[in-house]
Amino acid sequence: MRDVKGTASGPVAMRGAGGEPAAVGAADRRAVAGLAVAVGSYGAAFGVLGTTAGIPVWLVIAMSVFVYAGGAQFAYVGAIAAGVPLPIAVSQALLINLRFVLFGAAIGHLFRGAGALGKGLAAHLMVDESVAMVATEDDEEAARRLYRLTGLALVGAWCLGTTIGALAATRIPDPAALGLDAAFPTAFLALLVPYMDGPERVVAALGAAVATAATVPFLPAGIPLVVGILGGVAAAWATGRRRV
Amino acid sequence: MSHLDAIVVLALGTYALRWAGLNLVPRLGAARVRAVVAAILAALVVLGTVTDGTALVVDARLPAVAVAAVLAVRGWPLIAVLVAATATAAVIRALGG
Repeated sequence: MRDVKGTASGPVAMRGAGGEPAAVGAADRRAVAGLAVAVGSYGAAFGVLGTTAGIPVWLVIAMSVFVYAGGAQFAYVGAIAAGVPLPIAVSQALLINLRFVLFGAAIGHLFRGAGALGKGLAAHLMVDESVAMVATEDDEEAARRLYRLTGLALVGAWCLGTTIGALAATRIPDPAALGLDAAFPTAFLALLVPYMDGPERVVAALGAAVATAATVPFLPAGIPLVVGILGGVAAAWATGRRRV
Repeated sequence: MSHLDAIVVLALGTYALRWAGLNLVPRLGAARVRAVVAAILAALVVLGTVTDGTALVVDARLPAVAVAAVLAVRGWPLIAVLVAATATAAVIRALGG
């Protein structure tokens, strides 16, 4: 993880003898492995849920490959299982994925110089966890390397998990019973803590937290997160201006 | 509409959102990016700790994330924080919480 007491904010990039950047560090690889376990477990849960809801096995797996968005996938399956018409289920799922526009804004600078294929793949690998892992990394080259590792590890884990769950269809233990649902907010918080390196960031974080919690009971799934992020940014901007 | 139709629409729509975020949002200044990052992480923490997406819910995740906060402040490696928080939630649930 980050050295909270050190100067670097974000994963520490290991350098070779000549100063050239080396592979992703061991601490980050371990963290990605831990996240992959949690992601894979929920992929399996999705595989079970999707097939149980009546979606053919091959299509459940294809959904994980081509949509690759856990929140939206679970929302879609939950909606159709509750009898919601398919077009509405799709709309609800897309609302949950609105967040990707803001995530892209946060990490887009990493891929400005990338080719079409690189940008294209980077887009597909963008999920909460891959964005979180690299967004606090100052070194852009290290961030891209970590994004590639995290992105590929998590999409692999998600799709492999889905395949296992879809084929097994029963007897997959509930990941929440193993506490795995706590893994995701834990990762985000652990990455946020050393990033709180100044009043503007603190205000943005607090504003976002309050705005998210306040809107969850009132807005359709997916919107509170977007409102929360924009609220946090607005709060930081407003207090920053007063300082000027 | 069949499931296949729905999932094709969902896949294309999702990719469009991802692509738009990466390519269409104008380049933000460094300060603005920092605020966005802090906001994203904090919002995700709240969403994943005290909500189920559409309602506020307090369950075993809250003490687990509280444990994570303490360990993170003390500089524990991320994998260790993940294991500790996950174990906390698992134990609480095993005990009926």
